[in-house]
Amino acid sequence: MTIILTGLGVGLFADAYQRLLAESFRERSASYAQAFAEGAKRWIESGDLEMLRQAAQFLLVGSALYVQVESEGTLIIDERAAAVEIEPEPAGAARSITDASLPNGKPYLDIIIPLVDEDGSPSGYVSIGIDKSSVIAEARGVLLLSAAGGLGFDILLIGVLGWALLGRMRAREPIGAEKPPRYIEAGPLRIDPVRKEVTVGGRPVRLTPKQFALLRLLASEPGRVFSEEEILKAVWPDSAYADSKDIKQYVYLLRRRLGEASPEGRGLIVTVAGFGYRIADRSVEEDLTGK
Amino acid sequence: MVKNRSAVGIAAIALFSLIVIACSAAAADQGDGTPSLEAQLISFASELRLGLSLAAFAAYSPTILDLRLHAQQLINLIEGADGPHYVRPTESSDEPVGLLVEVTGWLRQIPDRPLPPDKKERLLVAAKNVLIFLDLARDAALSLLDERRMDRAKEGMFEVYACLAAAYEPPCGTAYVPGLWTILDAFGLTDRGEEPHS
Repeated sequence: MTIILTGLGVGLFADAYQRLLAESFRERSASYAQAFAEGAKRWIESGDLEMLRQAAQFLLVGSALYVQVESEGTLIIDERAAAVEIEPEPAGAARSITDASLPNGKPYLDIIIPLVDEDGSPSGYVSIGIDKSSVIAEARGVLLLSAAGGLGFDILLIGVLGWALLGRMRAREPIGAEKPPRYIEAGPLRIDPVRKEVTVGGRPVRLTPKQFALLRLLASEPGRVFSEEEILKAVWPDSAYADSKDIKQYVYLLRRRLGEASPEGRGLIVTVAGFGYRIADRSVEEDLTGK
Repeated sequence: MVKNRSAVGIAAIALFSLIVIACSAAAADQGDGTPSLEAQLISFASELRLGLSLAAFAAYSPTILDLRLHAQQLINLIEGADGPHYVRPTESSDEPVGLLVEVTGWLRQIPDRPLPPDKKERLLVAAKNVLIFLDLARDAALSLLDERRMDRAKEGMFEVYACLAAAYEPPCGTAYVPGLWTILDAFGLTDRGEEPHS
């Protein structure tokens, strides 16, 4: 959406600028021709045609493609840039600015400025062709610059948005946060949730999925008492028939398996009468008892 | 075709007229083949008018490139082919002597003219003023060769125009700084119907 809006903005800007450029070029070209016509009139009056010819040649060094001066029905100056091969058509004494192009496609402005006598009667005209290539090239340059600017703006915008998004994502992860530990450990008990392996004092304990789920729950927060309701919800989430008897049975089986595997496994699961079960957090308990 | 023939005819007449004018102006030949001071002044006035026209075209140039090219043409006209900032045009056979060079020549020639001392002094002052204004015009034109902004370049070209106009010294009926017109008037060469200073 932003890219479309940017493209639209760039297009409108480039179009407006091109129009402004073309209009300004047209006005300046007309003033240029008018200035030459003023000079031409004086040189014709003083009969200094050599100066008129020199002035016309001066114009041809720049954007002027041809300069013609007609006086009293006679073409007294007909100077052209070497590349121009066409014969500009005299269009009478009327002032005009016409868009035209050479046979090779080069665009130009054909400007005709009438010359008038002291009494105001027409005496001839000045006709000048002004090459439009430079202004068209400038307009293209502006268009390209605008497009590049628009594209740059889009890229910048995407970059800024991406950066902001990345920053936001990073903000959710506290800096320096470590990955969760692979093992759940509580005293001699070590559970690998990925491999579904349990060891007590370094010895493996073989458990069924339900036994594993129960032990994992209790070991997730060593020392915390889990109520029967919490255990049922976590270990038998889809069973409407499981109850406290099942919990007792599984706790019994777990204690047995853990004790069989290692003496350290005995007494690992503690019953808290009236509340539920917990894993003995021996490190804490040892600290408290001073052992 | 008919128009072209007529153009050739008019051009031939104009050329003949120029030759006649030049010959009559050079009537007081200095003997060594160089044109008389009067002939030089007529030619100089014509070139200065061309420079003024060029500055006017330049100020109204359709592009900044045109303006810069005209600025260089003006520098060529003012300094001449031996000037430090002269750039030889690709298609040109005539190499200008340079307005500055011509005025410097007058400064050498005027003291030798059989003129009353006060008039001679006045002419020397006027010639020096022309030199100063041409120098200012050249400097202003030089500053435009690298200008990229059209508005600034146009203002600068008006400055060039003003300096050239001051060098020409168009009569304005008030206190003035003498320039070319005063010199032309001294030699009876003001044939443009302008009123002298009051």
